[in-house]
Amino acid sequence: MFPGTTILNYLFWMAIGMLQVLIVVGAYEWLKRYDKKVSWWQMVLMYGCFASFCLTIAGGATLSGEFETRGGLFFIGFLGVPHIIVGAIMARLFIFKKQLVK
Amino acid sequence: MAKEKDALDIITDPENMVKNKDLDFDEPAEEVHVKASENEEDGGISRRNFLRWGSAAAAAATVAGAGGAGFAIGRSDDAYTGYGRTYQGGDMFFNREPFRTKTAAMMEPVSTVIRADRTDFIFDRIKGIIGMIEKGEWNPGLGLDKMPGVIGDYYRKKPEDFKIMMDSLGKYAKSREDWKNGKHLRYTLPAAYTEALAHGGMYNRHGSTIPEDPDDVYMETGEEQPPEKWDFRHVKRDKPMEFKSPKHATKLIKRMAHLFGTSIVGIGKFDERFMFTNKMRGMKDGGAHWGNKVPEHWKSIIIFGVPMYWDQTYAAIGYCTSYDAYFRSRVTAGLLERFIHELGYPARAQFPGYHYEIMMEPFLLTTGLGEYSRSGMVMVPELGCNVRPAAVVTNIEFEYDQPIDVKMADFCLKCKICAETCPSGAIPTTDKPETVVRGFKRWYLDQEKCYNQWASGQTVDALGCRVCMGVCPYTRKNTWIHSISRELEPRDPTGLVSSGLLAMQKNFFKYPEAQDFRSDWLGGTEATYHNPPWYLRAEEVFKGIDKTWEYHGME
Ligand code: SF4
Ligand code: SF4
Repeated sequence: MFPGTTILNYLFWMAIGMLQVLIVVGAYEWLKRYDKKVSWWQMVLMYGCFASFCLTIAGGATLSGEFETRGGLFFIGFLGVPHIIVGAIMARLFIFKKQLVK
Repeated sequence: MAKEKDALDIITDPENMVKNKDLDFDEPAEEVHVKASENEEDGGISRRNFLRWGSAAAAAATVAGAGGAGFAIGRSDDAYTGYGRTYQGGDMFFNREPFRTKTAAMMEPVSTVIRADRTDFIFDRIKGIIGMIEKGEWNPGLGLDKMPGVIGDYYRKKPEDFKIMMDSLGKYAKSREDWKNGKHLRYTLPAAYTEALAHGGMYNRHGSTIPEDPDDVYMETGEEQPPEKWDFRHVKRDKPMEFKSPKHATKLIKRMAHLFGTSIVGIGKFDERFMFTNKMRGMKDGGAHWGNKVPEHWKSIIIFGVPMYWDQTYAAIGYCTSYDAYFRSRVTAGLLERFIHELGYPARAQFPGYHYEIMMEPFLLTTGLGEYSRSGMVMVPELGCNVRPAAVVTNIEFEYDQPIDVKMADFCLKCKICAETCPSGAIPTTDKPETVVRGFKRWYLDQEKCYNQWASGQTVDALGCRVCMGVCPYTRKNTWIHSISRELEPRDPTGLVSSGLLAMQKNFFKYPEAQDFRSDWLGGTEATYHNPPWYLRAEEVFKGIDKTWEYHGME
């Protein structure tokens, strides 16, 4: 991320790691607020989908960094859209599910 | 089915809590030091709100960070294997051990193995033809029938190749003329880069700068330098230093090869099948009468290689040169040769452009550095086709490396990108290798056609094209995304990974067509695979250069 530096890269990845904790803890707060219940494995799946989406963005951006921007955009489009669809399906199934048993 | 505990239950279960008041957010408000704002919207930011909005912001920051980090990784010079931070050994980062095999792909003989002769080496043929013309022994007007010597014999067996060679010499003359007449302005910087490496680095007025070459000494002194003399010339010890074991020898010499600048290195048994006949530097006429003798002390070979600088490799033809890699592999060869002499052993450097008695490619295969490809070059996992080898032959007893099978050659069965993009049509398009070359069935690169492109190419010395190297999907930088492919593909027994990667390569990327790479006077647009980097664009740094051309490569 910061070519030529010895410390900024480590700080960057530490910060990204801390943000991941915030994402998960904050997600539970949102769920609590709207009175939704999600089991741990459902949360793992949803977070996995998000992480995989981030990797897709990173992959496309890497190709772009390698002067292959067209390839990078296709990469994001081709792999990113399925992530969004899968993410939406998971949200529907895990968060906005019908309350079958009250 | 038992009722599942949901995530919130787990988090809020008092059993799972750390009994520390400072951390116990759900204790009654009056017991917490910072109260009220924990659970109420009172104008400040509550803990819950912080977590909620913080998580949304964190998610956005993560996506942005992934993009930014990905871009920086792709753009960084650190990903340029052989030029990054991991210079001393770390460039050879692919673990070959799980892929060792007995014989490399296309290395099982299908008929009697015949050693290549010096006339099989195109540069010896070109040198011979130019020599004849300069000495007035022959000229193209006299035709093939009158062409003397072994080169005449060679071409009489291959008259079509002779026609292509004559066409190449004509194109060479025309491209030199264009260059003199101002074409070089656009290519001022790549030309200067090439010449600096060639004449500042590789050659001086006495011949080879590094390593020493026996031909130069023969020419200077008139005294022949047989390998029994030349290969021992700096040996000062009465007895060589004895290694504790062949394994120790391998470990040390590989470490030193990296320390002397190489990116990849393998060590194997010397195999005379891959030694030219009638070629021995340091002898009269370059060893034209050497026959098929093999020096007794040629027992082991240390073979190594470095990549060409990546920006230039991708900017083939006009902005690319082999000399940056040649120069660096020659430095390693020269230093390693001397190092081995200092230990008391004979050693002989084999180095580019044409200072060899051996063929390099087979030894890259027998030592497990890579696999043979459709384009006639060896591909290695770390560098793809972008590897320029050199070697040192010695009599040290080593623990030898074995060949590898990483399915690169299998990938070539499906992928024809290099063949489709080659401006001269020199690379075969047959699905499978079909030509038997001196006993081995393989794809055969048509040297004459390839040289025809070189001769008419837009480079300062009319040498080299290298489009096939740049476009090969294996010739990629060391970024995580390529590393994943590199590691997954050889482990996938179904072939689905390689099919998927190939589909991406063919559909996601758009690069010039074969014809576009050719010189403008041959109907091309002088396109490049990637556009050249700024530091090779003369119009960006010099006055008085009107940009009358377009760049057609990827960026
Ligand atoms: S160097 Fe150029 S002409 Fe020769 S095989 Fe490769 S792409 Fe074709
Ligand atoms: S471009 Fe494709 S076919 Fe050619 S050498 Fe590379 S992988 Fe093989």
